[in-house]
Amino acid sequence: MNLENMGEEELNEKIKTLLQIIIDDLKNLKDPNKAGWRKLSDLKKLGISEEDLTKLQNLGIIEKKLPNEFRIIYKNNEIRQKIPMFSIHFQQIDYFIENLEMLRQDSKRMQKAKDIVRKIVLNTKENKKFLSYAIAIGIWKMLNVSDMPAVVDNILSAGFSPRDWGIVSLCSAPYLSLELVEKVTEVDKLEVAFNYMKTIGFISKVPNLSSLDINDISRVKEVLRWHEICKILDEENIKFLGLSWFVVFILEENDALPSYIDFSAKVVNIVKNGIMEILSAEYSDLANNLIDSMRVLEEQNISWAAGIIFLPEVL
Amino acid sequence: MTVERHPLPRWRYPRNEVLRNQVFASGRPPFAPFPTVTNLINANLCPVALYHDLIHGIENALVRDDLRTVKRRGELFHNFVAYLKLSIKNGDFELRGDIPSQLSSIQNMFLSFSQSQGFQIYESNDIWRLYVRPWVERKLDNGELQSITSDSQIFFEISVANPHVPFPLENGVRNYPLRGRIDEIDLTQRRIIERTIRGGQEDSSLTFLKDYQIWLLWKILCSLRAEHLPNEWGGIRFEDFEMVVETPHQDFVIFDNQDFVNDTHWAYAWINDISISEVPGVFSEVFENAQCAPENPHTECGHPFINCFPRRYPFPRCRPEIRQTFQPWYRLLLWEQMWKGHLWHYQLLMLDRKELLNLGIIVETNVVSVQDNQIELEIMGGEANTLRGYEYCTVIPYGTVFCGLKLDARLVSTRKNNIVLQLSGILPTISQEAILLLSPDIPAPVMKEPPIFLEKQIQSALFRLKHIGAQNEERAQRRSLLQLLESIFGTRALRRGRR
Repeated sequence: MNLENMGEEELNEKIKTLLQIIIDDLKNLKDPNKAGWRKLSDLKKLGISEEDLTKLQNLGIIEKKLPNEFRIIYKNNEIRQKIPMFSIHFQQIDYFIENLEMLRQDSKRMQKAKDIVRKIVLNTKENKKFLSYAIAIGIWKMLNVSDMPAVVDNILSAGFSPRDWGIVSLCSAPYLSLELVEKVTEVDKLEVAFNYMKTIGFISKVPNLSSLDINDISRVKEVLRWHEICKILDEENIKFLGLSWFVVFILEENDALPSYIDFSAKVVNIVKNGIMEILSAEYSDLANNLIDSMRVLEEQNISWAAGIIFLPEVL
Repeated sequence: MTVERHPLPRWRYPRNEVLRNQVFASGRPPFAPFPTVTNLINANLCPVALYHDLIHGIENALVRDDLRTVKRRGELFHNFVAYLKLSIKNGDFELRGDIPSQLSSIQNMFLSFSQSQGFQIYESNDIWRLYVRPWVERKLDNGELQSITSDSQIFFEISVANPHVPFPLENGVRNYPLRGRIDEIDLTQRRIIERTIRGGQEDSSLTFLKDYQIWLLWKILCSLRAEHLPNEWGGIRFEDFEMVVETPHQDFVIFDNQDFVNDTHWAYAWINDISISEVPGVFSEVFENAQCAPENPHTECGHPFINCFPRRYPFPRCRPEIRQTFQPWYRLLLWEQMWKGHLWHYQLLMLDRKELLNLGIIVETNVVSVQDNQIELEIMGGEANTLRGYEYCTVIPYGTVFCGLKLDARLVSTRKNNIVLQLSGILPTISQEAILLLSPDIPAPVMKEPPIFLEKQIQSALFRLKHIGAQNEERAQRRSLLQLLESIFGTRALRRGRR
């Protein structure tokens, strides 16, 4: 029997409602075996009567289980073919079932991210030292993931080969970060900051922070015109950058960054809200202030600054 | 309807030195893109559709079925309508007898035409039944085809572009660049037509966003000054032209609409922000404003379960790292397209003829002869060997860079000052028509459009690579590509062989 032949528009609406129930349950990550079952009393509230259910049962479209619970037989291909106008609904159901495990994982990661950000916010409020260390670690992370772009002529005139520049400039990240952070707070050694974070359980191991000759550091600073960069970035910029990178670093370390973009977008919001709370400022103001500073750097012909000073991309 | 976004204070056009290639192309371009009508339609559909378009190089959001099939069928429909109308106009085809016999002779014409275009008979029959026949029947019933005469002025596939299309905003106007292609301009009937194979017999409403599409094209046409139009078109008031969307089954007349104006300002704001905005978090705003979700997918969009909500695989395990690594590349590839391609469009339309010639962006030619799909051109003020490297180029044998027939061509041979080009994607009668309208003393500019489609392909290939995967470890281990990804981006120690 074909529904279209029966001309039962109204019945189609009931089928749509029943399918939507399954979709909503699956969206809430319910087990597929348990998804979509509803008691007659609940269905009545949604405008589905016993008579409707009998009709659908006669058509072989719904299944029943004790005690008096119903749902559409969504797995059966014959039934899917019988009601082709609902193919998009079946596509949605398949999507949630096929991806259930990954959706659960990302959902867990998102929850974890929420908890971690909450903890970070609390720690910054309760402990001044934490905020200083967080900013220092964040700035180090930013420099560590940067490719340290610079003008080739300047690299060569400072006595670096391009290969050496790649290695030495990256090793100088701990020193450069401390110099920048100095404008905001005092942190003597990055190791201390990392050890502190390890002690309170934010990270499991301290990264390898290579040491560098003082002469090499000053040559790197010269090539990057680091002193000018430090001068132009204001306190708010440094706190904003440091915290943004710190939060993302900690989320990464704790496997709290989702695999797919829809959940990532939600995590971005969690991070944004956390940073606004810590810095007591609107995110757009913080961002615009940073953009202004970057423009000044560009006007000073430090065109490579955008490749060193940037916000993390979580998406 | 486009998701609301604050209109831009101004569109960022390239500065003079950038236009004249005096600025070294690198990093974020100091100008916004030169959008197409398709970009604006995608923006109108959903910010995520625009994001896929600009960032992932996937532009056909409104094609839901197999893209290649839909495109081939659509092109055949378009080309045949043009072929039929021009054949009637040129007197190559005569409508004789009553409507059923006219229909039958058009069917024969279609079948041989579609086979000449490489279509199998079974597919040709399908296309005839689904799209062409309903359209032809309607056009015979209302006498439209019978009314075509040798005096009819009809033009097909006319490219239109203007760097400064004005759109009202509050008490003034905001100018934006825009380019697109009009399916048909009928100067005799004073109308422009957008044709589509979408839309069924039962559909009482218009095919999704086609009204906005034709409105945008009409806005470009209306914005062009007389000197931007083909010589013979001077004095035509396109503001008075009717806008018509033709589906196989129905014609819809579209009217000017204030909602379209708002949509356009918002669409440009999204285009600007996704492409060049320095404000962090723009991309997350795109996803916050997504117009659908897996539990509530958009019914017209082709992206939902393919690009927006793809299958999620647990392997490779390094997917977050892959995503983070790839993410900056997409925008860099877009910037490369802007430096190479979008800037070229700005230059073409914003620099004067002399500067274009000096920069080597165009070469002026006179048409010597046209035979079948080959056109012989004489290069003005230069020898043919100055075209070294121009094996493929674009030729405008009719009209201007603002409004004209723009054809892809391949250099076949050269002789002193003359070059012979093979025109592609055009049918003999159409090319003949386009050329016949050409006055021999109008120089036809020959240009080489930068191949930005390669960057688009890299974007979409990266996007596909980001989403490949396997459901379990055993399968993942059997797929060398997944192992390669794990080895490049993963953090686990690598092992080889059975140990």
